[in-house]
Amino acid sequence: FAFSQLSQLNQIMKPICLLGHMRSITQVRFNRDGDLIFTCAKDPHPSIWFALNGERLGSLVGHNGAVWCVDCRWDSKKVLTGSADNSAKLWDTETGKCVLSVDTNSAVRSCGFDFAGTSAMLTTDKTMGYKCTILLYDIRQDPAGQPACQMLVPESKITSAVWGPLSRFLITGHENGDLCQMDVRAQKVIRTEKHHKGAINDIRMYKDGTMFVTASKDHTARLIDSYELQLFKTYKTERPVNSADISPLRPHVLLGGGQEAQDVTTSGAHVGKFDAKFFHTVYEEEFARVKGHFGPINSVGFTPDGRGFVTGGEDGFVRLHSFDNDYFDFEFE
Amino acid sequence: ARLELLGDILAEKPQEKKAINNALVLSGLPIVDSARIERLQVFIRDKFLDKHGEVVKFSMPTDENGNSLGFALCCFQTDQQALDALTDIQGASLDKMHTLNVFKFSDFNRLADADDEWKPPEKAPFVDRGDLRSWLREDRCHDQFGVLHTAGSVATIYWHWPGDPQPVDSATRNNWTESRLHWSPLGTYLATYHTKGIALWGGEKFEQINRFQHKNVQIIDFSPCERYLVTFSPSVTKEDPHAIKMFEVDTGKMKRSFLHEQAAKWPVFKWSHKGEFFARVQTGKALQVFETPSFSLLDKKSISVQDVQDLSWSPTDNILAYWIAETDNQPARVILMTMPEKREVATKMLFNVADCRMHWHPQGNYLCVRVNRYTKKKLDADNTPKYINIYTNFEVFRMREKNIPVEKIEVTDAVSCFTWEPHGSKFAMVQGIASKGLSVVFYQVNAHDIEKVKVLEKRNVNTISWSPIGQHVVLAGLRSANGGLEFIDTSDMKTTANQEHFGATDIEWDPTGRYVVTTVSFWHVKVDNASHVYSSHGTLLYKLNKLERICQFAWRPRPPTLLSDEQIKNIKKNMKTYSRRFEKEDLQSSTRASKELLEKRARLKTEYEKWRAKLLEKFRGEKQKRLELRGVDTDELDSNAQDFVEETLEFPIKVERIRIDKLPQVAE
Repeated sequence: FAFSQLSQLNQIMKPICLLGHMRSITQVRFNRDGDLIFTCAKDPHPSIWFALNGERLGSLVGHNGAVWCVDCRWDSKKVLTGSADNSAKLWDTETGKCVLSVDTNSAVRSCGFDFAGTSAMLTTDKTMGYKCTILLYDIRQDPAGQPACQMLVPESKITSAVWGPLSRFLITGHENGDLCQMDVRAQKVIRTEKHHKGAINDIRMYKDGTMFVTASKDHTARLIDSYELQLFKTYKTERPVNSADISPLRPHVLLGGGQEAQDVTTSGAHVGKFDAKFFHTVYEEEFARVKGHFGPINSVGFTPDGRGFVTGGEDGFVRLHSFDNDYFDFEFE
Repeated sequence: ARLELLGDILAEKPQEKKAINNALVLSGLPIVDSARIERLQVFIRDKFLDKHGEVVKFSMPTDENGNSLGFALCCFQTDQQALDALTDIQGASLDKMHTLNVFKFSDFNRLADADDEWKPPEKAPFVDRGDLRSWLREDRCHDQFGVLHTAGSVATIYWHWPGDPQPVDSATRNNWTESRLHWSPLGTYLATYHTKGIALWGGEKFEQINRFQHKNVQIIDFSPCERYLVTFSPSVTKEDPHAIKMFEVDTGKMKRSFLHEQAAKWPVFKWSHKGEFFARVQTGKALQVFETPSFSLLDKKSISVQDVQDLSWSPTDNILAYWIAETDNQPARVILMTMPEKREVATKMLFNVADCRMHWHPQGNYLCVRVNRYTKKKLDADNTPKYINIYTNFEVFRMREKNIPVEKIEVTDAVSCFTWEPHGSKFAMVQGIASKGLSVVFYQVNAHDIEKVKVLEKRNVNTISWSPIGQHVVLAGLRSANGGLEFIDTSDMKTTANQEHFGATDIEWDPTGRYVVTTVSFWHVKVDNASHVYSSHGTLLYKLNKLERICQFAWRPRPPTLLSDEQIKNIKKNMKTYSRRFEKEDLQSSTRASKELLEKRARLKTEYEKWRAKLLEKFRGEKQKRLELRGVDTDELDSNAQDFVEETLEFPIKVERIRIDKLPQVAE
């Protein structure tokens, strides 16, 4: 099966390499306009970059541990981060100043602004004594550490979470592969579906919020609708999938993954053989790979205009790619 | 009483025969004077007539001076004898200037009674065979191959679209052939065997081109130009005693037929490269070289060569090579002779020869004669020679050099599977005996010597299969060996791959040298019948195992390229530009899949669009809420264009440093 054409993308389109983190990348995100990139890693300082030329705007100083998650509000004015130092912080994008900080009982795994940008959701890890919890905060004023509401997740802990359409509920992915719709305010699980056999490492919404893609340890990524959690497409690979995103422009899905960090042998170190995989959304067929990372890819994302993509890896590198003309002309028959 | 007797007597009255089928007219005889007529008559009866039966009457009319008129009449005792004689002596040559033209006396009457008015023959309707070369113009220049499967009862022709071969329309037929499939040398026709004879098929839809009658035909051969078809059938009858028949492909007419007395290897008649001549050996006696389109002996006679054993044509020139066995007072010889001039261009004396085999290089650049030599010779009780201590010599004739020099290579081990590299100058063979371990040895013919370039030891190989374009070769252990396949690139003698097709019975390269196919044929093995397709480097590409009980896999040959060497050189030079374009097309075509896949994709697309439509409906239904939540329309990236701020960014593209004191002086 030939995907020779697109796999030459590496040579044709030179990626911009953002070198700002000393440790593995945990998440990369764009703002809605696509001119800013937010990266966080296992080091305590998340960074903000200009997507145009890769110039760093600055870093957010304040956390004391690995930063697991980052989100930018729809108006690009505020940034939310969650850390292993048992806190989540709200920052001002322009100045980098921390305007709010809340402490939690355990590490914050996921965070996200709601549609309106007035609430923030956090999910925390299960650790000794503390169950996995979902916390909602009203950020229009200082909550002084008090969540507007919270919900305990008794069984399998949440490994990834996003807001559903119109932020009526949360869509959560769990360690055992479960996918749930959680109405935190009503404190109930609306719906549970088991489409995956392994932990769900990442959930990314499509641009209109009507469907999302899940990336799982079970070597697959799946396309699911937001309203009824109905499975529609499955994309299969040979390695655990750490992250996936849907192109806003073309019927393509991007997957990033690789072996567990400790399984990586040193043989391929100088070759950069970990690749980002492109699948056709409808036909579920892989058609291209882009190499470059020296370690597993932990987070991927298309640019909001679909003209490029960014990948962050275990190697600490963030690579920003722009597609060349062949990508836009490429058609399946 | 007298009346009854009269009836019997009357019955005995000799009746004039109405048809005279036992009489022949021989014309084309030389005109001789009365002194020599007697001798001529005796000569003719002796040489041509007496052996076919009893000549009851013979007459050679003369003119008023006693000179013969050039023809004779003869009557045989039976009609059959006359027929036998006619078939045998028709066209026989008496000497350089005279050829017998024999016809039945009854024909003579018919001709004499013929109309004085000449009626033009009826025009046969024009049968448009279509484009017999249509397969060569396929979009991506894919080849075709034929597969005989389902134990021989079904034959299918496929397009070789790599990874996904597709049957050609209307080219899957039950009982298309009763024994095997046979492609003509340039790929134009497909020949099928039937009890009644051979059928040729061709054109885009494989329609029947022609039929050739030969009952119980067993094996066939084409002339290299595809103009003629030679068939052999062991079923001979009194009426039709000729086992070998030659037909003209275009017209379907039989041009000549031959008796086949001696046991011989097929093909009995060997063709010159352009089909201008065909020849056979009369072992120990003569070479018979025939020319086309007359189908008669070149110069009307055989070439008498005492002790001649075998002949072989050059594949590219009209040069005939033949070898003569050694006799008590003469060594063995290999002679190369041009045709039709019959000029000897090379001769090699060989001593202590037990046997010779000739191997021509496919491009005619070399001839290798494998000579089995002995150290001692004994004569058996019945005077058959017995050879002791046989060793092998290879005499390599360099055909393209002046005076055709010959070089010798000695090999002490037993030798088999000698093969030349096409379009190259290497040859390879298997040396040794199985019990001690076989080796495959490669030699290179250089400008001044022949060097042994590589010995590959301990190889269980019984077939050496070169790519038709040279350089790559597969060493295979077929049939009783375990199906091991070693792919070698002889430019650096490195093994590119080692594969195994257990039980493989046949191996065939495609005409372009890109693919190798190994087959386990149902005719030899009853299980696991499949064909495996490998790349020239030995990567297994795919398996053809969905067809049941495959008997035969046969690539369709291609005619030789029309490009000149110069043009080929140019293409190789610009390979990079071509590669880029072809890789793009390859990508598109590998995703351009079979009909089923396209249909499946179309289905998936419609399903997906339906699903998306439902979701979009919900999305649109929520628009109002979204506006309320954010206060602006953010559904599209440019929905809130009025909020966009225009910003001009400046980036230096180029930085140049100029020393001010070095600025050019402005002229006053």
